[in-house]
Amino acid sequence: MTDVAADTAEGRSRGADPRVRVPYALFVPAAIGVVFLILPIVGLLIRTPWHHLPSLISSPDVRTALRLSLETATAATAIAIVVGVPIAWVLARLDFRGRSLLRALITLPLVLPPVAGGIALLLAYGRRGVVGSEILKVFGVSLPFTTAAVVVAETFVAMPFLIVSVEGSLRGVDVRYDHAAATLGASRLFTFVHVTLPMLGPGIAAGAVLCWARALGEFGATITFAGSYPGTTQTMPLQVYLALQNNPDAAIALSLVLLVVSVAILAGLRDRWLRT
Amino acid sequence: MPGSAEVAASLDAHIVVDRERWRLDAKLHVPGGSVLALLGPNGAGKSTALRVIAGLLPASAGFVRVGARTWEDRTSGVRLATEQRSLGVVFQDYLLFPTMSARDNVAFGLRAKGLEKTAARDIADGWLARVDLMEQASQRPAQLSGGQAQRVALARALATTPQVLLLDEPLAALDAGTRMSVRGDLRRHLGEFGGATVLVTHDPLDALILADQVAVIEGGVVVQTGTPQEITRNPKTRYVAQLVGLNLFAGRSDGTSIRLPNGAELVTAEAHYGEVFVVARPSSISVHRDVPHGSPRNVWAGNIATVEQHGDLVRLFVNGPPDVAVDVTTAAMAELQLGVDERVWLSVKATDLTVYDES
Repeated sequence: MTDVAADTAEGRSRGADPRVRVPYALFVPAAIGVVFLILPIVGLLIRTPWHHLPSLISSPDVRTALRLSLETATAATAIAIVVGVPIAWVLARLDFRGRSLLRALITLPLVLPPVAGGIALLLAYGRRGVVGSEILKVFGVSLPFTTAAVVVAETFVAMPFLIVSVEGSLRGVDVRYDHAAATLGASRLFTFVHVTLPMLGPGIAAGAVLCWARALGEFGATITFAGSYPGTTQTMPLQVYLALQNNPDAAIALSLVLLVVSVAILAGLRDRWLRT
Repeated sequence: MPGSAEVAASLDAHIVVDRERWRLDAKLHVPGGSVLALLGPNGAGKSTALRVIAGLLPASAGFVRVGARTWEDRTSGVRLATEQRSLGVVFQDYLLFPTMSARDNVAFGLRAKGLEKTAARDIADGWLARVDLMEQASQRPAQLSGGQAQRVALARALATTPQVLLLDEPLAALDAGTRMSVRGDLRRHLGEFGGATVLVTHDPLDALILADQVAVIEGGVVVQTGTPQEITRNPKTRYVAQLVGLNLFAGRSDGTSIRLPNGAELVTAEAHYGEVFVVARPSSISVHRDVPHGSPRNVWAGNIATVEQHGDLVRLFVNGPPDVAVDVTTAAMAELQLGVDERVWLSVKATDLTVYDES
């Protein structure tokens, strides 16, 4: 699929399509918008304290926060894949009453303000939450303000990105491949693992990268549900925000690190998302 | 590997599918080792019948039995899932798994049945060798030509040594040139297959060349069943006559000369050796009042047995040998003053005869 898209994109010649009548007045707001979007990035690069940079980003605090961010975002993505791919399969392949409602509920975190998500997580899994209080009673463990809570908050916010991406890919996979596998004696699970999953590979990869990027940048739900304890719950975005108050140079340096990670993600996704 | 007795099981089915404005009702009997072609126009219900046999579509009534085993019986409520049926299917567009190599496609059924990877791949390689595709074993389906993909699909369907092989328009996706050679190969492989084969096609040539028995389906009903020779010589309905408007001869070729069992001889353009089929379209045969002169290599005399009007065309059945169906225009009919029992001369060019190796 990706190959075909790439071929057609390369086969098309660059330049103005002679059939397009250009409304030149649109160029003005478009140009203003482009400057608006790019200027902050330029500002960040201009004001970055380049000569302190190595010492700023190699301080133990930063390294701890960066490692915590990478680990929790990766764990959240792994959970999202294990749980989200089956959800996507159900949404794409099964026709049942309430499917639209289920899809709306599952993708709600996409539009829900993350702070509200954090509050909701506290009410469900907090010490006095609907489920959390029972867990505390039975197992004696409490989820909020732990590293695990960071992963839970990130998964809650980021998983819908993966589900939406994988569901779209699944709709592009001909269901008759399942039939072909059945005629060859394959059970349903064998078919899913050996036929469907490999065909979903690119969709899962793209969804996982989006999910991971969203988890890495998570702020609102994390600080609400997990707090901001250095070493256990203080991820990069939280550290950037706190650093801004007493060490602006450190905040800028940390933002630059996040920018570099984001650019790397875009570069990795360019074949799938940046070609039109 | 299953014993030969099990492999040679016959397929018996009564397939009824009710739709809102349409009904399929077909009885099929396919002895082990033989090929039944379901021939009919698109929308006649042929593919629906295949889907029922494969268990991909429940029958509204009837049964599917293979040997002593019941795959489906609407009366008793028995219904095996597709993966529990000993099947191989070649789909019209093959449905090769795009993420797997040709080898892994062929090995898939064996892997699904629990065979270990290397063992399954060894068997798959054997099948790829049989369809002459060893060099393409590690290629993905997208890299294969249409004819190669068709052979991989056939190897994949046969690799699990199923009791029943189903072919859904196996040649429809190929261009005319490839179709001819692939058809010959397919005939050879079907000859080696010990189970029951059901072939669905809208192309009479596929049915006549590949099948031992032909069932013509029209509007969801089997209108005629018989060997290819019976169907072409004695079409029971006008529809069948039009559909299988072909002259089919079996004979022995010795280069470009083919001797038919009744002593007649046909000359062809290309050299073939051994047992062959010869196909001549009724429209390619010319009718003359006197001995024709000129280029045609095949000339013989015969008596007109029957005359049938089909729109602008008139179909004559002429007793030779060889006996043939001939299509002439109504204008030619009047001009030549043709009628039953008239003696006429027939001619056909060597290049208008299509020859298929029988094995």
